[in-house]
Amino acid sequence: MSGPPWNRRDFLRFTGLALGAAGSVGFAACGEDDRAEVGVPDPRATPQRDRAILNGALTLENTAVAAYATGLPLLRGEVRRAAERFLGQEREHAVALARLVREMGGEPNRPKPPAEYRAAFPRLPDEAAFLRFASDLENVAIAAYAEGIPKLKDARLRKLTSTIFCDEAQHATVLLGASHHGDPRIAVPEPFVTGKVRA
Amino acid sequence: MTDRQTIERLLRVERGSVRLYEVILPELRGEARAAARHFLGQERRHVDALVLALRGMKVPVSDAVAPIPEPAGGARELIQVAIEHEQTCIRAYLSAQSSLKAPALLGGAAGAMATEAQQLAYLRGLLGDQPVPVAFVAGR
Repeated sequence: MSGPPWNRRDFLRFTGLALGAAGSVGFAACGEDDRAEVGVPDPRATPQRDRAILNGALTLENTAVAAYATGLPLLRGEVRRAAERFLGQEREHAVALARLVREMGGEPNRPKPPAEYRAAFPRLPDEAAFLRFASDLENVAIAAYAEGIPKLKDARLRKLTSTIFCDEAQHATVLLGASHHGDPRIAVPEPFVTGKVRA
Repeated sequence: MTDRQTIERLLRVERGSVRLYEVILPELRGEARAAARHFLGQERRHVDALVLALRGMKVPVSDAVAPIPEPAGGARELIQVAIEHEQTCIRAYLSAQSSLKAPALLGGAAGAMATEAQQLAYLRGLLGDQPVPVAFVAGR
């Protein structure tokens, strides 16, 4: 059985998300006018946009839950224990994001049926294939959080999503470490995590 | 707190990170040494970016360094000190997400914070500890 070819475009089409152009790396794009010292918030930020960003993140978390659940039977030992832990953490993220969307008066995006996820995922014959897929999936989520967090109007939401963003970044480090043991340059590849650098 | 004050605070913390890795690097060997060298380079990039942000605001840049834990003992103890400092960095960046206003600064702070979180996970792994113990990383 062969699955569809896997790439980010497929994934984004599948989840219904679209990432914008690459954001600035570092802090340098602050601007050179006098207002920069106090900082000028994004004038387009609204509670409605916050809710949409959180719901988009929820879709990614639902997909991650489905991916780890699909991959678990392929895994053994330390990698399996890590995947089980990450599955639980992705579920925690999904619960938290759904609750926030609901509190903001929205309807949380629901997970797709398992068969729909399986049909969209690539063929996963073994542990190595799953590690590549999971690592790519984590990096897609990381890129979405990296772009979404600065757009959030509500500081409380920025803090919460930052804690999730960091967790996804740590997942990527462990997954990369599992497939490239002992090389910190691969496991922690960027000084500013963007999710756009892949091993 | 203004964006300037927040960036100045982060810069002090990051200068502390550079100092810490400079101190422990010669004491480490093998994979731990390679990690410390790599992370030192990343912390220097954070310092450079924060300095650039302050220059963009046309304000003076201080050389102040936040206090760091006193590194002592063998490799395991030194890595533990680095772990504690990475958690301090994460808390500082998380706090910055509340106070910063400019989107470019928010994005930079989030990206740097996530790198600190990855470094933390890697260091925990070096000690044989659970690298990702919690679902919401807050530096505690």
